[in-house]
Parts: sequence; C-alpha cells; structure tokens
Amino acid sequence: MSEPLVIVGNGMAAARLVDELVKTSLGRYAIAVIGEEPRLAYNRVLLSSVLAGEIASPDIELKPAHWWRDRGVTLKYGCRATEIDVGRNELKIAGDESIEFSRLVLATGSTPLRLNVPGAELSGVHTFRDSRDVDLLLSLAARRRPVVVVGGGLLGLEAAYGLAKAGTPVTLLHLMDRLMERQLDAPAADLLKTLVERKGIKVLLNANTARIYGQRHVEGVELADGRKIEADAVVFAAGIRPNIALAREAGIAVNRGVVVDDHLQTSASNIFALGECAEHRGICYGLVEPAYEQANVLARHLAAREAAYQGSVVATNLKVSGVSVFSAGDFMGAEGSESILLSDLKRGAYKKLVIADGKLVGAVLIGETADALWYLEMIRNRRPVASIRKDMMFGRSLTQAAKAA
Amino acid sequence: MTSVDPTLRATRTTCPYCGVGCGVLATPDGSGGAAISGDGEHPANFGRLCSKGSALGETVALEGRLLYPMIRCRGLLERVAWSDALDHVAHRLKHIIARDGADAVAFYLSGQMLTEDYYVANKLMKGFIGSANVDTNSRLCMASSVAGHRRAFGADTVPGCYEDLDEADLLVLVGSNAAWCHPVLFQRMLANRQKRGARLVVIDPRRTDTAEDAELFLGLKPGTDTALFSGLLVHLADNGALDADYIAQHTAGFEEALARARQIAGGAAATALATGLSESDVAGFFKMFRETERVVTLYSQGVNQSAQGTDKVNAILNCHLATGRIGKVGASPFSLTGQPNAMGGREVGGLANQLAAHMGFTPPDIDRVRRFWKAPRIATHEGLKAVQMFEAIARGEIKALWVIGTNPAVSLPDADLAREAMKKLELFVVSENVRSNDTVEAGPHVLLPALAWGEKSGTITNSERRISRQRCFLPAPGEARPDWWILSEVAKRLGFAAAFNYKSDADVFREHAALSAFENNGSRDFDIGALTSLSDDDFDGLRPVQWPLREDAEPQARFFAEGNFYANDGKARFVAPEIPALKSATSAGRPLRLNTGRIRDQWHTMTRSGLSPRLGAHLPEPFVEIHPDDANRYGVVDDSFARVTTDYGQCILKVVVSPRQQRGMLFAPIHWSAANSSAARVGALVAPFTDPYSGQPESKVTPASIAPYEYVFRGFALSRQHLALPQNLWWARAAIVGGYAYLFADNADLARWGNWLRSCSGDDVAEYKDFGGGVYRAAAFAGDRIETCLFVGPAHDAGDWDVVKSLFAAERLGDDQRRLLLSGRSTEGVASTGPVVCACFGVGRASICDAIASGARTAAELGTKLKAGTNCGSCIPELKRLIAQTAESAAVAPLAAAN
Repeated sequence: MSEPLVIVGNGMAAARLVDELVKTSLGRYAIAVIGEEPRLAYNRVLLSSVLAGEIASPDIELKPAHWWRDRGVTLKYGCRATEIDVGRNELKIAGDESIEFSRLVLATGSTPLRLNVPGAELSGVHTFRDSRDVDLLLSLAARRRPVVVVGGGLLGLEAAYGLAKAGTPVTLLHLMDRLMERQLDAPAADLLKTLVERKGIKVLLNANTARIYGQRHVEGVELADGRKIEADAVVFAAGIRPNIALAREAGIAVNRGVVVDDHLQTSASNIFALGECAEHRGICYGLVEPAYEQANVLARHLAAREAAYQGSVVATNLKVSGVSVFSAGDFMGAEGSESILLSDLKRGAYKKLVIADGKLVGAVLIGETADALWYLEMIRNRRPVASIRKDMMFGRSLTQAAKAA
Repeated sequence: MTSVDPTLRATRTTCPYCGVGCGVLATPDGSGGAAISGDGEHPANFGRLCSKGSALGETVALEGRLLYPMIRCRGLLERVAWSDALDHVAHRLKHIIARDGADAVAFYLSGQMLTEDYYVANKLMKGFIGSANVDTNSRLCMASSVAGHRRAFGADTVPGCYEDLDEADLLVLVGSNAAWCHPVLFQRMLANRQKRGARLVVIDPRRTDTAEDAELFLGLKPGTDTALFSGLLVHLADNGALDADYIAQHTAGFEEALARARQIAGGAAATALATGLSESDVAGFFKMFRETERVVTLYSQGVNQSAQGTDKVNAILNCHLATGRIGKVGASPFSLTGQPNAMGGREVGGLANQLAAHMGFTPPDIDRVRRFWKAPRIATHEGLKAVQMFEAIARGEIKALWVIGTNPAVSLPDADLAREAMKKLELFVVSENVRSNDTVEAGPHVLLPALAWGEKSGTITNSERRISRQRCFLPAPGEARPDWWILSEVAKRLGFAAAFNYKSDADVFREHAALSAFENNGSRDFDIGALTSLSDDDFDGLRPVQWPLREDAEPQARFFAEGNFYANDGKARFVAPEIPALKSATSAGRPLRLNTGRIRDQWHTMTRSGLSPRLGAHLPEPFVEIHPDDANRYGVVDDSFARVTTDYGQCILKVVVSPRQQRGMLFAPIHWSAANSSAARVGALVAPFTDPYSGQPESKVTPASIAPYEYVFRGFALSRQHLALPQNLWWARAAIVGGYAYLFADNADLARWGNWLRSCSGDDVAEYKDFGGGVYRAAAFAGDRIETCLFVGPAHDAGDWDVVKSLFAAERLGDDQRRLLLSGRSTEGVASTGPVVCACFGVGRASICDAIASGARTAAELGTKLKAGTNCGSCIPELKRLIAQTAESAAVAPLAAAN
C-alpha cells in the first residue's frame, strides 16, 4: 500500500517535487497537496508578465488539472494547514479534518514584507506576491493613476515594469544607492537603471520611505529627506519573509527559515522542507532554481536513492523589466581577485568576469547573457581559465573558434 | 576602382614614382579619385604597372593638401593672396641678393618636378639670379652615374634602352633591388629569362627579392664593387675577351685603367679576397661575363650612394668599353634612375655642377647659354651640391632657400642637422603639395601650393631617355599653381619679365628644346631640336619619344656602338679608379654598418604612397633588418624593438631578423619621418660623407650600433582622422581603408588610454578592460560606424589588426560585428544564436526560430526540443510570440511569392 505523503504548499517547488516524485517513485506514495491559494499551481515568475499584459492569467498554470488527476494526486487548494501534530503524524486543516501522513513536506513559500512605516495600513497599499495581488494591481493599472513601488530589487523592478507596461506612471523607490545591490555591481546597476528608465519608470535611489500619507486612502509617499511623491497606490516589494509559523509551532527547528539538512530533512525525521521557506546551511534562497534543485534531491531521497543537496551557487539569470540580467558568484570581486570588463552602453551591454586564483569566481552580465550558463558552469566547476582568458569575455562560440584556429 | 572601363575618358599620363616612367591611363571617377591602369601603348611598360603605380588612384584625394599660399606671421602660417606671397618672396630674395650676393640664395629641387618646372627654376637661378646654387634630390640618387658618364663619355649619356633588357643574354644587376624598386623593368628581365634563357647575376650585400630569381648571387662586402669590376677587367684582358679595335679607335686611357685594376684585384683570387666572395663565384661571374656578348649591367643606388660612387660607375663602364659592349642591341651599361624625372632634371641642367641642356661651366658653354637666354648675369662656376648646400646653410652662408617638391628634412644625410639648419634661414620658401611634412614643419616663412600629379602638365624623361607627357586629368584644387608659373611670377617680380613670360608648359618646353639644339650640330648628346616648333596641340598629343631627336637626323635608340663620344677628341675615357675603401670605419662602439634603401610599396617620404591603404599594408612599420648571428650577439629579437645609433642620430625600429642580411650589416628603409613615426627618421642616422666627383653621399654604410629596446605594451589605433597620441610612445602611421592606423608600443600605465580615448571621441564608446592581463581595448562610434578603435596589449600578444581593419573599413557595423569587435577575432564561423530568450538554458532567438521553422508549434514543443522555457518559464510569453510571428510570416510568404 502507498505511503501517504503530504505536501503543504502549492507553489512552484511543490509542483516540481510532485513532477520529480512521480518519475522516481511512481506508486510508492499517495500524494496530497494542500495549497492556500485558490487555484492550480502557477508560475509565479510570470506574474509580472500577466501584469504587463504579455500573457493571460490562466496561461501561467504550471500543469493542467488533468495532469494532477492522472498522477493520482489529491489536490486541495484554497485550504490552509493550521497545525502539524508531529507525534501523531497528522496535519490539521482549517475547517476540515486532519490528514495523516507518513512523510510531510513543507513548501509554504514566503510572504512579502510590509514596511513598518506610518500609513502602511492605508487602503491602496499593496504587495506583489501572488495571483490575487496581480488582480488588484491590474485594476489599479487600469486607472492609470501614479503608483509608487517600494523596493529596487528583483520583485520591485518586476512590479514596476508590469505596471508601467500596463500604462501606469510608476516611481520606483530604492533605499540603496543602486538597484539590485545583491546581484549587481555599480556600473551594472547604473546601466540597468538607464535601461529601466527608458521604459518609462522613474527611479529614485537612496530613497528612504518615512511614511505613507493620506486620509483613508493613499495620497503619496514622504521620504526621510522630506521629498514627497504623490501616488494613488503603493506597492511594497521590499523583501520577503519565509513562512515558518506552521513548523515553529510544531516545535520543528527554525531560524529565519525551516532548518533542513542536506536531505532537506527538518529536525523531525519524517518532515522535510524546500523552497523559499527552507533554510539550508544558513541560507534561505529566494529564487526558483535552488527550489528546483532541492525538489530534485528530495524526490530522489524520498525514493530512497542516494542524493544530497550541497547548496546552490546562486545565480540570477532572467529578464528584469525586459532587460537580460545575470549575476553569479563573487560578482563584486573580493580582494585579490581581478576583473575583466566589457561595456557597450549604447548596446545596453555590460559584462564583468571576476577571476581569482586563475579561476572564474563571479560574473555580472547585463543585456548580453547568451553565455551566462557557460560562465555559471565555469564558476561552479572551478576549472582554470588561463588558456581562454583573453577570449572568454566574448562567449563560448568565439572562444571555441579561437581555440580551434 | 578597376570596374571603370579604362578606355572611357581615360587620360594618358605617366607614373610619378620611379625612373622606369611607365605609361598610365587615368580615368577620373568624378568624385576626386581616379581609376588607374597601365597604358598598353607606352613602350616603357606596355600596360604593366607595379603595386605603387596601380594604387595611384588612392593617392589623389585632397585631404592634407596645401591649397593656398601662406606666409608666417608672428610664428604662425597665415593664408595670403598669391600676389602677396609672390611679392614677399621676390622682395626678400632681392634684398638678400643685394646685400649678400647671389651665392647667398639657393634652390633645392626634386627629381619629381616636371622638365618645364625644372627648366624655369634652373634658368632663373643660373641665368638671372647669377648663382649655380641649384641642386636637387637627384644628388642623393644618381649623381655618381652622371659624374661617371661624363668622365667616360664626355656627356651624361645613357647609352642603351629598355629593349636591351629583352635582348640581352646576361643581365648583371649591381646595387639594385629592381624587383622592388623598378618592378616593371624587372618583370621584363624575368620575361627575357623565361623566353630567351637570359641569365641573371645579382651583386648586392643584401640578398634582396631581386636575388631570388638570379642564377648567381654575389653577396659582396659593402663598397667593394670596384674591386669586383677591376678583377673582371683584368680577367677580360688576360683571357682575350677585349675588343681591341674598339679600344684603339674609340677610347683612351685603357692601359692606366688596366694597371690600376691589376693593382686592386689582379685575378679571381685577389678579387675574392677583396670582395669577401668565394673564388668560384667570382670565377663563375667572370666567365659568364666574358663569354656573353650580349650583357647589360644595370646599376642603381648600391653603386651611386657611395663616397666612391663615381669610381664604381667607371669601373663598370670600363668593362663595357673594353669589350665594345656599349650601345649595341642587348649589350650596354645601364643606369637605373630612381625618380620619374631625374633624367629630365639632368637634361635641363638642374644640378649644381651642370649649366643647362647638357652643357657645363666651360667658357664656350657659359657664353652660349648666356646668349640664348639673354641672361644678364649668368653663373660662371659650379654651385653647391646638396650636402654642401645644407652645410653652407648651417654655417649661415646661404641665407635664402627655396625648396620645391622635396622633403630634405627627411631625405638628406645627417637629416637632423639639415632640419636644424633650415631654421636659421632668413628666407625659407617651400613649394609643396602637402600641408605637413618634416620640411614644412622646419619653419618655412612662405608656403606655396603647387599642383600635384594628376593636376600638373608637362614632360618627364625616363631611364632610357624617353620623354613622355604627364597630363592633368583632375582640376587644379584650391589656388594650387604649376611650379613653372610660380617661378616665372617671382622672376617677373625680380625684374626679368621678358625672359619669363611663359604662357604654358608647352611654351617652356619649346624653349628647352630650342636650347638643346642651339649651336649643337651633333656636338652634344642631348638634342631635341625636332620638338622646338611643336604646336600647343602637338605638345598636348606628344607620344613618348626617345632622345636624341635632332632636327635633320634619323632618330637613334642607342649611343656609342660606333664611338662618337662627346669629349673633344670623340673618344671615351677609361678611368683608373681609386683603391676601394669606405670613408668611415667601424669601431668597438659602432661595430656594424647601416645600409638604407627603399621597400617595395613605399616611395620616398610617403607623402603620396603613404596615402594608399593597399600600399600601407605591405610593411607598415619602420624596421631594421639584421642577420641572426648579429641579432644573437647584440641581444635583439625578431619582432621586438631596437635602438640603432650612429654618430649622427638614433632611431627606434622594429627588428626583422633575416639571414638575407649580411653579417655586420643593418638595413633600414628610408621612408619614415617625424610626420608618420615617432623615432624612425633614418636619414638622421646617415653619415654626410660624399663622393669627390659627384657629391653624392655614402648613404649605405654608416657605422652603427644596435641595442634592444623593450616595450611592455603594444597596440594599434585605427581612426578616421590623424590622431594626437599620448606622449612618450613609439608609433608609426599607415593608411588603411577608411582612415589611418597607428601601430604603437608603450611602457606607460594602461590606465592612461581610457582617458585619452575619451579626450578624442564622443560618448558612444565600447570598452574592454583586462588590466590584470595587460589588455585595454576600446572603440568609439558615430552611428553604426567605428570612429576610433584602440587595442593595447602585452607586447607578445597585442591583438590582430587585420580583423579590426576589415571591420573599420565597413560603413556600418552589424550588431554581432560590434558585439565581437573588441575580441579582435574574426567573427566568421562564430555561430550566433541571437539574443537570449530562455536565460535558464541559454537558448537564443535564432535557435528558437530555427526550431519553429522546423515544426515546433507550441511552447511545450520548444521545451522538448531545446529545453527553452522549462525551468523558470519566464520566457514562455516570448516563445509564444515568436511562434505567432513565424506563423504570420509563413502565411505572408506565399502571397509575396505569388506577387
């Protein structure tokens, strides 16, 4: 008889885990997925495309309903898990009976942070996280009234781009002196700012939000330096917090996230966690790729195969506001490293490769990311690059042609 | 450019480069340039052209041209009206002559001037100003041949003609790299070799390209040509090869010459010892010469540019006179002249030791010319020859100098001294085509814009005495004027209007022809009396003709087969040469000897040939060639840099290590100057020792030392305009398609280049920096075109300029070309997958479109095929869009095809 395996969360990590599980251990588990969002698992990365009107909301579903059905997955969405009874191997669901599990996987994701500033509770203050947020923002965009987006990281840029593309005048506020400071060095961030501004987004750096003002509804944002930006709505996109309440209350070890080992196992031996809610070796990842890598490892582990998660070399590799951006490894260049730079601002291209001890250890690419994965592979496998150093900036194809010549 | 039909509106003219005097068909392209092809009807070349001639069309643009008269006011040259410039020159000349006498002024002319220009300059100075201080850059070129001819023949006569090169059975090239310097004639010799089996002997301290095809190469020690030909004379005498009748009837001085020859080299063994050749090679050469009736000995700068150049010429002439092999079909000595109109200059008498029209400073000649010219104060003694002229300028004895069409600040020996000397002049006038060269930078007070090749009209004479027209096919640009007009206008202002009232070049030519025939009656070789009464139209249509062209005599192609020399007794003179010895000695500090010369694709100081991208590609950098053993000994390495030092100056040159170079000898080309390089004024290295008869300097054996010079970085900059490069940089400039290339070497920090580029370009700059790897590259753009492209890298690996040059030549750069430009790599064979669509798997648009074209119709299908969109999925909207677009264009395509 199949063992009951319950997954809490119905996001991208959960969907991938199911996909991997049915490949590795078909029939071994009776899988149930408990999701809070009232719809089938969808591609969260595409929410900004939905906002930008590039794709319709139904089209971002990861798998159609019959896919889940065909694989015998019990799908309960729109249901909130309220408690884990570790001793009894039971999960309680709001307004429903408990379900039993032999294995439990937490894929509860994260929640956007709301800044703790006066006015944060006013109507018209939103976050940008899920499908419901997008629906709200779309109705906002339809009014073409000015919107302030708080947060110049990936999420904030995506929200700003989506709104701007939908026709809304957008001002993006960022606390730091450059955009995406965790992924980009100063020249790359400068170029990204230029390219983002070309899309009609007004970007304010060193912008410390002091308060949101308005009677009942948002009327604007005031910065610490006294500047005021009028706005009809404010979107917070200034970070996320892993959803760990369920685990914490069950007495499972948590830190910032749910602490897991190399098998994605929590402090409870039959409970696992992955994705944005998990903390592995002190790191909570906020990107989809580590989640997918974790899903792969966990599926193999649950299939009783040899598998261990060693952590991910974090790479940002996507389009930010329509601009290709890649960042990986020690992109700032620690002491003792050397940098190779290529910039062609007119083409919207900036590339930086960081070399230490004769190996590629980091990279930032803006605008020209065709060889991102090649660089990432080199960063990951730490192969010496001396023999290709003078060509590697110009890509794999050219480097190989030069080698052959 | 070759696509233009050459028979269409083509003008028949002649090449402005070497002394072969090839006929050229020039067809203006209507936008300032011209299509160039060889004139199939010209007997010098029968349609052939060399690399330099073929590229003439690339050299006629007006960039860098001097187009208006200029006078220096408070240190700066300012544009003035012609009348002001001419008044000023005349006024100052008059003043200086009145104060210091006629010998305080001098003209320094050029073998590239047309005969008519030359004639007027010579007449003005010698007949009217009253000094013979007229000399020319021909002094550096073939003055020793002139002196040798005059000593042997009683006149400066070239006895043979080009046909002899077709008809000879043995061609002996002495001190001539004809393969590079007279390519069209050399091809003619090779054709003879192929067709008739003529053999080639090349005598030269350097194994040049000319030697490649030779039956025998004699790499003799420098300065020992006289020993070789003395040995030959002895061999001929001792082996019954003399033409006793010819010697008896038509010559004098044979016994003394033979006795001296025995003293110098009394046999093959002694010759071998004196020349450093093997005895068998010497004997082989002697035998070949002895047994071959039809032998032409061709000689050029290797013979002429020597402090014993005249003796060398006579040692060669002695052998031809002794065998009667002169002026006969396929048998003659033959001086190859280096400039297009060196011969024309000699005909008008434009050298300080000639008077006019092959007349000298003898009382009857002086009287005759005085009467013909109606000259008020004709010069009665020789003037100062080039080197001495500039020494007199340095001493302050000559106070006014007019330089016409030459660049003495580069080309004279001890050129730095000459350049400094010119700065002392009270009046320094330069007639020029270009706005800038080392002479123009030496501080002239007056610049006069002269017509250039393609614009000017007149005649030139080539090495075989053939007079050809140079015709204009381009309009006169700006206010440029013919040299004869400029000179005549000054002459008029000096009060000689009646004698300089020329209306045209034809006018001048008729007078020149008349003087050649004046009281001649066969007493002088140079006689073109038959051309005295040419109408303007006849002059314009004049076909290439060989002199002499006497009024009532049959034309003759050759001289002296039957004697009839121009000494008073009608006999030729054997000349007993001095014991061969170089004027200078090597020492511990100067252990090597520096030879100088031309390279294949450049001409003189590059003011014309340097404009051609094609020509710039051959040897773009100034170099010094050295034998591998010497390179080892002095620690210099091929393709690195070396400092070459003589007692006169120093240069830093690229090193070429070559076994073709003799041990103990260096070779450096003469073409570079301060205008196109930082440290390659090779003329500044050359000793100013001169031949006592010809005054020609010994330019090929200056004692020198060499030492390695290290540069950490090398690079190149390509630009649409001339660049002001950073300080303390070694550089050389070459023309490339669309602009200029600067090849450079540097020891300064790489960081300076970024600032430098920004200082000379706009905002649109792409940069590649790998300071750790010693690399900085950048390009500045204007629209889609490269404006400036800079590559700096470690000395051993600075990047390939060929690839960059071809991109620079493009009017617009494609996105991929621009993306890969700074790689310096050819983009051929580098697959581009287009802009990335799927970032997670690095799938490019081109790959996706290919997959769609081959059937993928959904994002999922693309995912299966290429993995695109199967990770984060953020590219799925774009995948869908691409599928839709492709479907759309597929639907449109059949419609378009149906139309």
